[in-house]
Amino acid sequence: MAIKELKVFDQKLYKIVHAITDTIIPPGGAFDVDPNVVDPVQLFDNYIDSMSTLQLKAIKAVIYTIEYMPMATRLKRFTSMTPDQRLKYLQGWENSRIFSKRNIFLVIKMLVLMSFYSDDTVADAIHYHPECLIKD
Amino acid sequence: MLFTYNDITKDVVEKPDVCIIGSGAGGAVMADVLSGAGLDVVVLEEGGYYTKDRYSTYKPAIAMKILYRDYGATIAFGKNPIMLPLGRAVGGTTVINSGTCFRTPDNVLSDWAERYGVENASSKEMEPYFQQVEKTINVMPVSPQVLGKNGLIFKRGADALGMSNGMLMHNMINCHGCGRCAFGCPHDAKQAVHLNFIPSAIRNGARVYANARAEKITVESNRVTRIEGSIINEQTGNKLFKLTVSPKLLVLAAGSIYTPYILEKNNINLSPELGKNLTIHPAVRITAMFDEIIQGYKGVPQGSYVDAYSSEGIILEGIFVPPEIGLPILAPIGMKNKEIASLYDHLAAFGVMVSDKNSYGRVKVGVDGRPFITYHFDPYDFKKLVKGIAIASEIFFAAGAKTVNPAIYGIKEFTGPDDVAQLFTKKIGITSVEMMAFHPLGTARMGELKSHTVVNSFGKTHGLENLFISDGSIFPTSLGVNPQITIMSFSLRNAQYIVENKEKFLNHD
Ligand SMILES: Cc1cc2nc3c(=O)[nH]c(=O)nc-3n(C[C@H](O)[C@H](O)[C@H](O)COP(=O)(O)OP(=O)(O)OC[C@H]3O[C@@H](n4cnc5c(N)ncnc54)[C@H](O)[C@@H]3O)c2cc1C
Ligand code: SF4
Repeated sequence: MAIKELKVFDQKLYKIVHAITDTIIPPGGAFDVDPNVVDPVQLFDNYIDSMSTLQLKAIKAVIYTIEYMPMATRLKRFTSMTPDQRLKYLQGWENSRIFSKRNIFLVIKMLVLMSFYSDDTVADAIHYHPECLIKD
Repeated sequence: MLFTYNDITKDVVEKPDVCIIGSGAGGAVMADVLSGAGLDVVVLEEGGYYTKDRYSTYKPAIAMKILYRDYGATIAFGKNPIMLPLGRAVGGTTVINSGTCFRTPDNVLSDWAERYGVENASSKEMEPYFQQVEKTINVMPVSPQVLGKNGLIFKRGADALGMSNGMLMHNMINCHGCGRCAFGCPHDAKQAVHLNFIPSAIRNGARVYANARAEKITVESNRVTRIEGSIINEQTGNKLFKLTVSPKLLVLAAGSIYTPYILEKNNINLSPELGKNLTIHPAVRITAMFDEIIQGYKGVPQGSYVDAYSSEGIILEGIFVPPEIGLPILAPIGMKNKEIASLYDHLAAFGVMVSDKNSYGRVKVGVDGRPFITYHFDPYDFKKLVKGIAIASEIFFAAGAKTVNPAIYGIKEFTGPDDVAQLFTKKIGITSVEMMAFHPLGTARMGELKSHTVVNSFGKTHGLENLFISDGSIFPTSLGVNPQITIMSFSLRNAQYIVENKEKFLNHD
């Protein structure tokens, strides 16, 4: 996939973040959107563009931790895992008994999903059409 | 006049009678009353000036990026980090609040008088201020026409269980029920203070600077003499120009987090109590899945409430958010996320809030120079929260829910009312509940008992002759209800006190 206009992530990070977003919101399932139309990495990247340098550094650090931490136990980086292995691994973060690990992952998950579900194509796909109860 | 960074081309130098830092619930009312009494007023607001034309184009997630501080992710650290979102705009947090209006409960006012020596603030004495604020911001009950199904369903459940409930009072005119109160009302129906008190202050001659951050406060001979700061480029966050204000009187209204922060940062240690005693009114959101279509995002998100347990400090209020804000928290990753997303129209959500009786927090300057917030959630208050979750779950089942998600780590979603008992039989740790809070108060509390308070009964700091505080930070304890009416009413009262005593506070020879 061509790397589009990114403001925060470089090519290396794009690859890791792509693996993360693909695991958080995998293709298929209850609804689908064309990955050529909706790129969750780009949405995520553009959403966090006005964060402070410190906040961005923290986010990048978490992304690299997600990528390299499995090296210690599985001798594999996150991006080298199969989709199933990636899901199990990230579920480990999401449901960790260590609440700080859980919360750190929650931040990434929130930013990915907030930007993803804000997209019009995605809103359409889940039939989310906000409107007023009383029209003008 | 209102100036944004776009209007400013050189350093700003001002010598007003009064400088007010912050234009939210507290600051806006102050600005209106003081300027209305003929005083020359300058308001400094770090956030931008947004009108409905601007924010009606923002999706909720974008509104969180622009109208909230730190993308809405201000955090109170403790055993369990608690999300504590704050607004940052002309109008402060009222621009993004839910619009619910409660007067200060009588028992809270009498408690302040008894324990902290707060004077002239009985419910009878506060009555005219409540009335005037409610009139200015048009407080009225939410109409059933705009309540939406989320609120109706919860009412239905509470009615079935015979629990006291009702429609909430809101500051609104011609509400369309579009469900966006917390992201800036696109119809200007919600009467946030940038639509009433601020324009009135400007008509009175006040100068309101948006994108203007106060940074340095100079104190000489027990008086504030100068405020220095910067005009900030809203797009880049870069400093554009310097700002110097030399007022006769300073009113700090930067909110319960930033008021103690800015004082501490400037080494203005008014009292050992400054920054302490933070209450936040901890909250959780409980969701339920129904067969029927609800579309909870249509209608006033916080339209109805259940007050059957308010004497125990537990209040239940509507709290529905659109999918981009709700799904990240309530649905797990993977296919299940997409499954719940596609069923979003069937979801209902309600909030539980508990008053902080024994819990307390603190605001300090962190090692990175930013505010560092800590909060100790006491087990007694946590028990109330768990009880609130149980009540909300029972109400949802009584309303016909198929499943209820209690938002507790390690507890599966409930499939029937019998499951609710687990909340009392299983051990539930504080770290297993995903909490948030919206009502920070108390970090510069008022009263005549100097050893326990930072400001007197009218918001004047005990230490300095010409420094007042007028925002959520002055309230000695949790209110147990949403605070905007309390903040505005006390601000009105305290502004009138300043006007009545202006010779004393403004003139210095
Ligand atoms: C999502 C949400 C929903 C809410 N819903 C309700 C509700 O329904 N009902 C209710 O009663 N309450 C509600 N609240 C709370 C209520 O809005 C706040 O308690 C109230 O607005 C606080 O008033 P304040 O004057 O203390 O501070 P704020 O209104 O927060 O104003 C403080 C202002 O000071 C500015 N400031 C800070 N530091 C500086 C500086 N250094 N220089 C210049 N400016 C500065 C900030 O940018 C801000 O605009 C809600 C809050 C949130 C977050
Ligand atoms: S429901 Fe919509 S129209 Fe009504 S006050 Fe909230 S945002 Fe405004």
